[in-house]
Amino acid sequence: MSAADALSEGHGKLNPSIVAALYLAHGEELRRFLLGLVRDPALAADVLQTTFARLVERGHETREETRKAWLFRVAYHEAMAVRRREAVGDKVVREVAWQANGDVTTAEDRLVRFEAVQSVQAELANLRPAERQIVRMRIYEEKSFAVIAKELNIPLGTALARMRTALMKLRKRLPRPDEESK
Amino acid sequence: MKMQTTDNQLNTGDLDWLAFCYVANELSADEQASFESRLADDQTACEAVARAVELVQAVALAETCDRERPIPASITRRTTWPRRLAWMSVGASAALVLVAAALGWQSISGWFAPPPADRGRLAEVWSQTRDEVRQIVYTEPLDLPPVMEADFSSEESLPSWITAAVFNQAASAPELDGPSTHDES
Repeated sequence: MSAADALSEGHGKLNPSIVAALYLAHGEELRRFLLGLVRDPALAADVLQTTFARLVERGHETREETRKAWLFRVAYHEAMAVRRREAVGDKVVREVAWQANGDVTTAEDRLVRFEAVQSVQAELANLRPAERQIVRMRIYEEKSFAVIAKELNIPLGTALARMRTALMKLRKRLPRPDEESK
Repeated sequence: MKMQTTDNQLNTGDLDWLAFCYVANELSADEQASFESRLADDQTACEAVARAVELVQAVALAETCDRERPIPASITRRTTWPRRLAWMSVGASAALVLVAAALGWQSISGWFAPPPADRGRLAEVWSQTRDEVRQIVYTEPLDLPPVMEADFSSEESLPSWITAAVFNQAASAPELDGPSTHDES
């Protein structure tokens, strides 16, 4: 698509179909990134919306090949602004709402999520019991590594190493972002 | 907790681990600030955070699904008898309520039975009709046998068809007090 086609008729703004395509391609990844920053699904959704509003306003000033990076930069700065404005700095010590699953917006997203969960579930069953125990205690029971190490009576480094190994195995089961956006 | 956050040349595995520790709030305040400043212009770090969130959510959901598996049959069996007793008591209570309702309905229907005042009204209509019949008989004397006259003198001797007619009239005629429509004269 040429630069002229990317602009909507005479308004100097990005063509809405381009915005929609960018949302489909990067919206979910951006939402997760924002959730990691603001730790609140509702705030993350708000910032995501603001980010794409900026894209509509200023997207025509960007180059096609840099738009994803531009979106992440804008999202980052908007999230930091929201954290300062909403005084959620103290809330950031909270963890991500791990079990928040109401933030998936479309049926396709739900399907992708369902498949990812099934894959991870299968891989969880393949983990060594010690690794699986750490994963469960850290993510499901939301215990810190220090607490886990103390409860299991193992060195902190061992707990971290088991978790890291388990995460590397589990991550292989998740679809890669470029596969997901196809 | 010290994590390796100073090395800008982290490989993907290290970066993923760092992003997980950031998301899991396992970094110290300095490490967290350092990582966040890196996110401002490092696309790969941003993507690593997104992956960490995705992984954590997927694992949490997978664990939740595991915890929500059906209750084993052995546990279900143990809970069967108390559940049965509970259902039996519910059934007995329902039966008692039905019986009470039926008894209550009978007494309620008794309330809607014709009151004694209506029976008096019926007797009044009956005697009025009898007077009319008697008047017809006496104003236009027929050559009736003495036995028949004697019959009219006694209520008990009224023929059954008159009784039936009177009762039919009482049942069907809405205005029983109106003038007689007999034109047998």
